[in-house]
Amino acid sequence: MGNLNLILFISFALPMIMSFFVCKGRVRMALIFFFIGMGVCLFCGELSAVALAALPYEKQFFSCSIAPFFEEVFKALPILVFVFIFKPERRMLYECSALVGVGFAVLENAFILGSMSNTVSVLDALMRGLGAGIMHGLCTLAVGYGMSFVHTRRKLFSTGTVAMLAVATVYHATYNTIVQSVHLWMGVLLPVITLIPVLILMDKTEKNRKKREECASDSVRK
Amino acid sequence: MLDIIYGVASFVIAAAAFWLGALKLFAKDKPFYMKLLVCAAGCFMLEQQLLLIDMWCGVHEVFSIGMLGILGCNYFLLSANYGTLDKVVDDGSSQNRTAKLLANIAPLCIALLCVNAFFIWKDKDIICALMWMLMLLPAIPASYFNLKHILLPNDACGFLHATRNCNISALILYVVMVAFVTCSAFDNSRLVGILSLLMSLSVFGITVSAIRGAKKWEI
Repeated sequence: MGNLNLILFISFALPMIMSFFVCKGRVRMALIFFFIGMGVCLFCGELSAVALAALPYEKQFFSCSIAPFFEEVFKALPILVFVFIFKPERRMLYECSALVGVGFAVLENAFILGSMSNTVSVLDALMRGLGAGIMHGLCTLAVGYGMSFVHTRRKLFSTGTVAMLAVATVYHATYNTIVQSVHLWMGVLLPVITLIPVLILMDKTEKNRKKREECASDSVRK
Repeated sequence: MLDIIYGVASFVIAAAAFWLGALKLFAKDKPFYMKLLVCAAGCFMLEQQLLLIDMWCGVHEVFSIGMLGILGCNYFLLSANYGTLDKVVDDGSSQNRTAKLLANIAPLCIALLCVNAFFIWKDKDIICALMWMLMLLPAIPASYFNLKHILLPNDACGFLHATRNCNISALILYVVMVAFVTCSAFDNSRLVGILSLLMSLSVFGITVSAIRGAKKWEI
C-alpha cells in the first residue's frame, strides 16, 4: 500500500474540487473550508511522521501531548488568514471554523479506520465518527470564536485567540488521552456531552443577536 | 493515593467554580468581563481534568500539555482586565500616577518569582523550565492591571469597587501558581497537591466575586 493518507486525500479532494465549479455562495465556501481541513490533516499527518522519527518520544506520549498542539495551530492558520483578508461576519466565521475541524476529522478517521481495515467494525467507525468528528469541530470552533473579536475588540483578539488555542489544545489532549486508554467509550462521550451546551449557547447568542437587530431597526423606523 | 485525593479535590473545586459561573451565564446574559473570568475558570478546570485523567490512565510524565490550561487561564484574566475593564476605568491621562506607578510592584514581584522558578527547574529539565516560563508569562502583565485596579480610587460607576475582590483573588492565584510551579520541581507531592488545591480555591474565589460583582457592573 502506498501513502494511505495521500491516496485518501486525493480520492476525497478531486470530486470536491469539481464541485467548487458547480456550487456557488455559501455552499462553495463550506466546501472550500472542508477541503482546507482535509489538507491540514494531510500536512499534519506527514509532519507527525517526521517529528515522531526525529524526536525521542514514544508514539502514545507524542499523540497525547505534542500532536494536539500543532494540529490545533495548523487548523487555526487558515481561519486566521480568512479573518484578516475577508473580514467575514461572525456566524459565517463560526461555520467555516467548524468545517475546517470537520474536514480534518473526516480524513483522519478515514486514515485511521482504513489503516486497520482488517479488524475494524461498524461500532469503531461510529465511535470515531462521533468522538473525533465532534471534538475537532468544537476545537476549531472555539479558536474561531476567539478570532471573531479581531475587528471589534482589537485588544481582546490576540489574548483571546491564544487563550482559546490553549483551551482547544488541552481539550484535544484530554480526548486523545482517554481514547488511547482502556476507557475508550468515555472519550466518545466527552465531545458529545460538550456539544450540547455549546449548541444551546450558540442558539441563545443567535436569538439575542436577532433581537438586538430588531430593536435597532425599530428605533431607526421610529 | 494522596496525589489522587488532592487531584480529585482540586478538580471538583475548579469544576464547581466553572459551572457556577457558566450556569449564571446561561440563566441571564451577563457582562463580558464576567464571561472572560468564567472562561478563565473553565480553562483551569480543563487543566485539572487532564491532570486527573493522566493519573487515572497511568500517564506519569514530567511534561504535561495540561500546563497550557494555566496559559489559557492567565490569558483570559489578562483579557478581562486589559481588554475590557482598563479602557473603562482609565482614560490614559496622568491622573492617579502614584497608583499606576505602585501597580508595577506586582509584575516585578511575579517576574522575580518566575525567574527563581526557572533557575530551580533549569537544573532538572531545561525544556520544562522554558515551557513553564512561557505559561506564566501572561501573569506578569495581568498582575499589573489587577493591582492597578485595586489601587485606583473608586470610579463614579462603581466598576472598580465591584471588581476589587476578583482582582485580589487573581493576585493570590498568580502567587500560588508560581509557588506551584516552583514546588513541582521538587518531588514533594503533598506540597504540590496543597498548592494545586489553593489554586482551585483562588479560581473559585474569582468566580464567586465575579457573580457578586456582576450585579453592580455592566462592562
